[in-house]
Amino acid sequence: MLFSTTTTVTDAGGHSTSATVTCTVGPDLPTDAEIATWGQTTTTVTSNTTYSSTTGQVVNGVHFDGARVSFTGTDITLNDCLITGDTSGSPLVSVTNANARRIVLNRCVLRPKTPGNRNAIQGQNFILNDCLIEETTDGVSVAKSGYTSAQINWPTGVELHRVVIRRLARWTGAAPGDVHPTDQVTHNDGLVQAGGSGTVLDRVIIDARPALQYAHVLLQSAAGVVYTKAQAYALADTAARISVPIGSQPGGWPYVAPWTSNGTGKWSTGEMSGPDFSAIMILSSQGPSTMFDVRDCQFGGGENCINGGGNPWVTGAHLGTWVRNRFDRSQANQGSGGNDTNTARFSGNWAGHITFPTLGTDANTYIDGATMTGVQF
Amino acid sequence: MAAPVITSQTYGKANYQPGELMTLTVNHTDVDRKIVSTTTSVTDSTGATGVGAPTTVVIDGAASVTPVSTPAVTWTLVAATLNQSVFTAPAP
Repeated sequence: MLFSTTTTVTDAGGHSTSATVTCTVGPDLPTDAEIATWGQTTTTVTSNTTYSSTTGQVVNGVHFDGARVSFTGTDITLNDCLITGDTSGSPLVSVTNANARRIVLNRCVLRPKTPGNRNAIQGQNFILNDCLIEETTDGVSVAKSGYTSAQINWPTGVELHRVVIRRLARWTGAAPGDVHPTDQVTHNDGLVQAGGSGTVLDRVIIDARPALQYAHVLLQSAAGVVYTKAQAYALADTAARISVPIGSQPGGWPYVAPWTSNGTGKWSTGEMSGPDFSAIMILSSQGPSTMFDVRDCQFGGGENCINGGGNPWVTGAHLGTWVRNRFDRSQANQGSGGNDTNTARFSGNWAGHITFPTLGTDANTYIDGATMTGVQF
Repeated sequence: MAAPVITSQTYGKANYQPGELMTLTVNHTDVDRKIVSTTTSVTDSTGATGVGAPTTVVIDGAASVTPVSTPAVTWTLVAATLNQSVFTAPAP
């Protein structure tokens, strides 16, 4: 929230002057103006690059143009880089090598050059500060390469500070297995965690709604005229969202409906947020996901915004501390209506094993300040 | 007579959490301000002189410094000099 003060100084003779100063009150979330300053590059690299240094290498201002970045070293920092990936299905950034530790990205932008079904960053032991991720299938994928059950409760080493993840790329497939192992649409998550402990999200913004006029989401007017990207994002909240017809585009896409209306007819109440979008998807395919530290974030969209259904509580586990986060009401699954918009759905048996207040100074709330209801612990 | 001038106005920091104590520092001056200092001396018939302590009068000093905020908060003046006023208020 912008906070403005105008001070008036008046002298004994009745003459006065005024001046205004502003600051912000509330979470120090990234602004669009600030985001526009990230990823200011000075040099270009066009081939996939692996960094293996163990001596504190710092890389400044590189545009990885049609190139991926991976790490096999430690204590490597990338500042103000634009990473666009190649045409493979691999993530734009991989931190999957067992030797990669303490990888830091500051003020970097992860956005594909060539649209494709791929994630932005995958692995463990990385820290993102002031970074933008957009137009990828998943944003951040927390996973341990080569995981074995002996490594249960592995430390993720993942921290996100003031990261923005938005405009997820929705792809369709002619058959299950084309874009998702069992489905004909991608399953898109702002952050997905396969297991492990200790992930930090601090002043992060995740909007789990589809990118418009990108991948297989192409909106057109009632008269059949395809919108420009600017027109699509400028549509009124209540404007009809009409997809180009199935099979109408070169090669036959979209192969199936890229989204399913939830009947509300409004962008702000989840008309295009499903199926299979989430801001945070919590899984247990690599042991239970536990001990999150999620504070002062803003989450929106998603079929369910936080979907922890795949991470059941196990004896002794704690899901961590979730405080002062704010949620919008744009979930595709509107539940019973009102405040019950399926914003936070854990697996149903975490009550008493998670710190997630809905009242008090550390309460998680809706963006308008209303008390969250229907949280499924 | 000229209006006073606000030479700077700053918060203690760029971002506050709700309920946190904010600080607003206003530096101001007035070109018309005059500070008149008077020292009285008394001399007797022998020529001996006694000098009193000076007294100071400020002419056209700032009569008020008033911050008004959006959203509204109640600012409390916690320190003031001729050229600086410091206020505090809890963030809304």
